[in-house]
Amino acid sequence: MMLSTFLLSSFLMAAEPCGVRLQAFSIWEDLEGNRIVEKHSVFPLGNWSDASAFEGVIVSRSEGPKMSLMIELKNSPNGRAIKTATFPFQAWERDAKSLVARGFNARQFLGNAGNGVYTMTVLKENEIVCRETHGIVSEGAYQ
Amino acid sequence: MRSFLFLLLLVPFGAAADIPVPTPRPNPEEAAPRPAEQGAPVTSKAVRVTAKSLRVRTAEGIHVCSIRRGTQVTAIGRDPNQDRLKVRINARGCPSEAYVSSAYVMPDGEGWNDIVTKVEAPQLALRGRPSPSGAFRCGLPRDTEVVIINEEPERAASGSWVEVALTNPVSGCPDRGFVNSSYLQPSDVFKQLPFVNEVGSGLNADHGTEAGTPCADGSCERGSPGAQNIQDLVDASQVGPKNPFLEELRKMIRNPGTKPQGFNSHRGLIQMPLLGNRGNIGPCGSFHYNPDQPVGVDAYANPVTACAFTAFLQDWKKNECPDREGGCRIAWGNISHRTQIGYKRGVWPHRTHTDGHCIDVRPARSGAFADSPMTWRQRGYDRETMKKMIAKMKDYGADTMYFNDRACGTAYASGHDNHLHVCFKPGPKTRAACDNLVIDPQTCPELM
Repeated sequence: MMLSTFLLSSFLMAAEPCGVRLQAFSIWEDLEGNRIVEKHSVFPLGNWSDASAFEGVIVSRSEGPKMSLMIELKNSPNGRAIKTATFPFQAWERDAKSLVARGFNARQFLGNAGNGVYTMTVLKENEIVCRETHGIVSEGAYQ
Repeated sequence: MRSFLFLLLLVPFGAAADIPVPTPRPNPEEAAPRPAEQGAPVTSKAVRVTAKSLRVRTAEGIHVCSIRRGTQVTAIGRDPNQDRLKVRINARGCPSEAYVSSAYVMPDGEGWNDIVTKVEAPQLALRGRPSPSGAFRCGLPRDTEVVIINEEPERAASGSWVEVALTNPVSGCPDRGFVNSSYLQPSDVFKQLPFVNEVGSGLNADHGTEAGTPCADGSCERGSPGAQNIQDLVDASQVGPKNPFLEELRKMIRNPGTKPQGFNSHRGLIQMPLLGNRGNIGPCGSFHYNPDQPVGVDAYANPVTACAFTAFLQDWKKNECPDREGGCRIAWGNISHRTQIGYKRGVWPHRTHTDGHCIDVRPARSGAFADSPMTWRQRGYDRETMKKMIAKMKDYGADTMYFNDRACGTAYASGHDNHLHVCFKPGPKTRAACDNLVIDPQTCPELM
């Protein structure tokens, strides 16, 4: 496992960026008429901060089966991963055209990280599809 | 008699707290710590204020007065849970004993010079000048050891900027520069003071959901009958002209320390009313993004701030942005935490959001509203609407504003590309905004 993670990491530099293939989403509530309804927004991945938080990530169902998300957390872009996890992409009940990284809770994973970077790698049957790296900015910790 | 009272004041604060006489001005000799090697406990220490203005608070964290830079007070204890000291004060309008942040005082006489300490933040900017706009030299990693070589550098942006030298080289960093000392570990110099813990059990307690809504009793689950029928609430509100939220705000403003009926409050702050299980639905069509857990624990405001901000929200919705589906809708985030009085890594990393005066607001966007990040550099950012929003906030007493689109006339601060940091501090303009506020049930049904 350790070896495969190491080998995977060594290929990461060559991976292409995900762009719109991997998107973030948030779930929120609003008033519609007299009722409270749940809605969701989908938007490009970016830096994580209080004002730029998201709940999870999705890919298009057209990417096919056996997709998974690997996420790494680092203190700096060239640092060692301090936290790594993998989540399978599965059907998303909010949008039949999308697959959601099941079990990934961005607030839990990134919310208390302070400053650093996170890297998301989309895998298909353990082959790297694409990769994105963004910052984690904790306002107040960095004057 | 006088000397007897003076002797009483020298014993630990618990015994002296009830003495009903004015506290004498601290005497540095009286306060000097005894040598640590003798093992003798230090019961007090003379300190002076380094911030331009330092807030003095009760044990519960309620702001009661402020003292100026250079004011001398006597530290008589430290809070084991917060970075704050219990102090004796001799200043007009202040109680004789109260609490202040330990980050903004230094030992009188000896000061901080030559004190060795470490970086407390995950990364701390080392700058070329003692200001947030000073040239960035490098980021000092957490636990980097520094020695303070000048505690009061010239032209410092605030009293918390110090000049430091690195005790060991850090790759890519010069050997000295300027940092904000608020992000350095508290010095050991107060560690000999006795612990005090007078805060009620309410602090740090888990109170479940925090949203000031029927969700607090679990009655607003999705689909539950009658949950959140806003029209019912509007109809009910039209029976009488008074608005409960506004009434309670005014009571709190008139009599600080008053607990509002029907709304969550703590340490003199009131929670902004939020609807829904997620705490997203704010007053007057506003949206509360990224609510902390328990839901809404990050939405506590000073009553004057809450009142002026509500007045702004109502005006904005009524006159500028009636459509809650529009990108002009106000999306606000952190105000202040219910219990976190100061910075706490991983819990409340917001040093400028502790008094309930300041609010984070996302930039306006063109097109439709969405709960998604927006920066002023991004396509879809609506500068003209943002300028209008800022101008209107000023009409309601907003002053300090950080937002990095300088075309908006706001000040630059790192990390403020994606939100405006705005403060509605209690003052003549915010109080007037509050005095003149009449809630319109059609514009702000969420408040009914």
